[in-house]
Amino acid sequence: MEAIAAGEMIDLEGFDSQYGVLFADLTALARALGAGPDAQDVAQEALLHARGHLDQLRDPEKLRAWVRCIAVRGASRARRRRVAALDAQHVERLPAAELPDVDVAAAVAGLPERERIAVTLVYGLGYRQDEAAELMGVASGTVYSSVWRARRKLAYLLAEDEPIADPDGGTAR
Amino acid sequence: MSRLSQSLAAILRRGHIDDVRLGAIAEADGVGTASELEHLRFCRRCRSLLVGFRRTAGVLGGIWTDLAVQRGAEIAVGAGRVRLRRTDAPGRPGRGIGPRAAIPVAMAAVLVAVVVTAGLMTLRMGGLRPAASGSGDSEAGATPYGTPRLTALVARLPMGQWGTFSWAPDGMHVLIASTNGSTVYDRFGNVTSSFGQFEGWLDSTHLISGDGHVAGIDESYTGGPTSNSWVVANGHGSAAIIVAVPACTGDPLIDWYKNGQYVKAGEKATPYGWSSDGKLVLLGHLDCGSLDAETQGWKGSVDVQDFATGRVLATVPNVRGQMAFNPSATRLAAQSDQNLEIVDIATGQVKTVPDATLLGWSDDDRVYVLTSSGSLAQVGATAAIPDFGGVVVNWEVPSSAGPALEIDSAGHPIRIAAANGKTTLLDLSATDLTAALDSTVGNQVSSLQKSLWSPDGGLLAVPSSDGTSLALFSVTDLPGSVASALPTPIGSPQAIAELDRSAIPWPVGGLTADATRNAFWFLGGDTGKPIDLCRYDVATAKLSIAAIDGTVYNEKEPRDSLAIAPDGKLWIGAGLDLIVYDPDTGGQTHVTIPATGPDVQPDPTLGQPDPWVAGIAFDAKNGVALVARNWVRSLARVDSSLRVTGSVDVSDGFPMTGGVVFSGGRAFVVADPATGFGFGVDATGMQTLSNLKFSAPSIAEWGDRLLTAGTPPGYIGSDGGGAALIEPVPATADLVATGPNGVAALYDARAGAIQLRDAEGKVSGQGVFPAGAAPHIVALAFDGQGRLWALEAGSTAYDYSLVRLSLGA
Repeated sequence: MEAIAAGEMIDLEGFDSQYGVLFADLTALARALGAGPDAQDVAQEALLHARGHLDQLRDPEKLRAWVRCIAVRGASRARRRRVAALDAQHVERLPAAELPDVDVAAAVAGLPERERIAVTLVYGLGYRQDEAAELMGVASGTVYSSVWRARRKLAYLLAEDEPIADPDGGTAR
Repeated sequence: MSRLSQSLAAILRRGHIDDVRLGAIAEADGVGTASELEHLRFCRRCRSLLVGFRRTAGVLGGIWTDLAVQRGAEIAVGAGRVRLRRTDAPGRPGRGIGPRAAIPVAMAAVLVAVVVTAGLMTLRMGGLRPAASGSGDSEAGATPYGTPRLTALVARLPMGQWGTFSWAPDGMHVLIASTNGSTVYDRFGNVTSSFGQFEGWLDSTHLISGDGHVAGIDESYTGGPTSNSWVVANGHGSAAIIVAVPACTGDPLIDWYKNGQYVKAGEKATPYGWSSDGKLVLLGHLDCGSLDAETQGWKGSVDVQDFATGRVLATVPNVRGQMAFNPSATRLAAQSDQNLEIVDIATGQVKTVPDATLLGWSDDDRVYVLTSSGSLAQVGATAAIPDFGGVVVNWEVPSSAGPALEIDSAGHPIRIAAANGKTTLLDLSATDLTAALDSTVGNQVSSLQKSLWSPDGGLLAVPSSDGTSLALFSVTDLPGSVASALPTPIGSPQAIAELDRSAIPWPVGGLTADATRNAFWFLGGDTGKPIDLCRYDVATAKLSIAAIDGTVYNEKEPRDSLAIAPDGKLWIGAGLDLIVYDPDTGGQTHVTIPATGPDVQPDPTLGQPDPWVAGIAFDAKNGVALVARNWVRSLARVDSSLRVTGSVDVSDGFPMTGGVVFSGGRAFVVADPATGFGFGVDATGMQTLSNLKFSAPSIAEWGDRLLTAGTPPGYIGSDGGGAALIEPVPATADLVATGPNGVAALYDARAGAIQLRDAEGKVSGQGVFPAGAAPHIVALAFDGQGRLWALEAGSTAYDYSLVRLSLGA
């Protein structure tokens, strides 16, 4: 018997057949990353972009990861737009823990973009760090260091008693 | 240097424990060295930061949820003061714009049916497509609404019983109202909220129910009357509320909702609908007492009333059929049996167009009609056009079935016609019309046309031909949009095309896809010779064959079965033998399961036991096979080394030849394909799952569900409970198959129809073979790209073929 052949490149028909599932997946991801009301647009844009560049996808097995990667970038852009343009609140996936006098959710939301996405993907959405790296389009080490920096900043923020000088320049307790 | 020395040296060198070490110590399994612990006893800073790391671990490792965050938080960390105030969640919007008024109602079902039927009929007819939303800008968020950008089917929504639909005035939501309740969906088909029966849009964010209750769009108010009651709302803050229906004596009694107040009027009139600006209301005066009304639909005059003043601006006599305002609401076209009446609202002048059936307005001054000869014509509808009431443009088209018309923003007719089981959309200005029209309309129910288009023109809502589902289509101006996308299924089934046909040289009975679905495996052969194990490569269409040693194929009475183990090896049941075939090496391992034992029963057709291996399924968690045998009252557990390690009891003995599926801890067996009788039994060995029975000639694992063919088809959930599929559900399915990403297919052999469903269970496509041309499909399977393949049997025993099916290609 011959060896099983490698998968073909995915065609438009195959892509469209997965549209519904991918759309729901990407919408949830974009919403979690702060795209807010634009989450569906982000998902749509990601799928539209992917649909127009299917020839760049060599491994059909990577389709989901590929469009997720596009959606992560899109969500980041959408969030920046919303933050810049709006003075209103927006909704995103954040830790629900409550601590006295400290708005933990706002602290996580206020992390630098890469650190926020890394922390949200790893802790908020349960991706492994290598998976998060794939979605963010960066090296695994970058995710590791981003998560570490985020943890350290939050640790300084959540430290008890007297302020501690944050080595990154911020004033902690 | 020891670790202790290193830690001590570091502490002495820098005065504090390194952050990395504090982070490590704060982990759940973190342990500090003696020197670090000693330092922590005296160093408040390090101790405090250790607490911070521990709190961080708790915060990040705890529950995450969707929370509102203020913009000011963006710069909070790492730049100055870090104590942040918690942000309160935004308050819920108000509960409505008017007081609730509970109105006791006693509605007669007959008028409900008539009016709702009128609603359904309007769904079949078009309306003007509003101006396109526009820019086609690809930047997310650039458009006012979240709009699906990929021109395609966005969602298929269940319509329920007597379901009708309407767009919110701002087009952000669509309401499906039925006797099952009302549901609001967003533009992507997601459920926003649920309400009682037959609600209506009071404005873009509020709905009004038959009891006069006004609810916000996000409130999911499901109270209100349970009897038949409904509203005719104008989307601009007013509504007619039907409160009582005298038993077939004509018009119902109506109250009004106006200026935020419920106005008890008890007026006897039939509200047909409103002009798009909400200023004009059509009020009919029916006479249902005559035989003519019983057989051909009610007929009566219709007043065009200025709602603000109550003044009747024009009256159209003898209306029976569709009505439609022109875009500026200056004229009304109304059907009067075979004739069309065009009314100038300002002057009250009525112009009759004989032998014409209203299809819709082209623009303010022209109306599309279907002529008595079956042609489609554009008729002048104002004296400003030289041939007032005459034909301006005529398209000669054959006439037979299913009129429905849409007109694009440029006034060009786009035809959606349901004919011969096909749905076609055509631009008459550029394409020959191939779909047929139908001038034969049964009971004429008067109603006002409604637009299928969302107000911004970005979405098209099309009900299915049977009225059980509503398809939302995204219609964008992006490349590959309208022209290519809209001929995809719109409610009605499309023709099934048979592609990539490969002849199979022997009779075969099933298809088994491998893990990648790049290949199908099946068993065949010549009678009296060894069974051939066949592999069909989807990409190359190459058929590979390996003979299975020590087996004998019997074409007339095949006694074989096939399954693929989680490790990729093929398990073959051949008579009493179980054979494992390694596709990498070609090696074969045989074992014979004992043909005796208390569970082995006589095969009634033979009068003696014949426990041949009839079905194999695998528990993916542990790779153990469950083997069903002919008339054996248990399933044998067989491990990867082909040892029988136990059994799963079943209640009785059966042929067991309809297939075995392992799903959710249960083994499901179609015990008797002739009757479809099947059962599910606990296969965990823990006896924690209840046994159950079902009736289905074909089954397939569908995520955490079991898809079942039968009459009707359905599924068994992970809890063991049977459930109905999302509408529309075919009456019968003889074969079912599931594929990658949760797709599924159901085949009705008698109708020659295939229905596809997505992972959520919604219908994603429907196809039908031409009448009398449906092949005999033996098995269905999806390949790795989600494409559907069929194993077809021809007219002779050796006329088998593998065919890829495409809906609408």
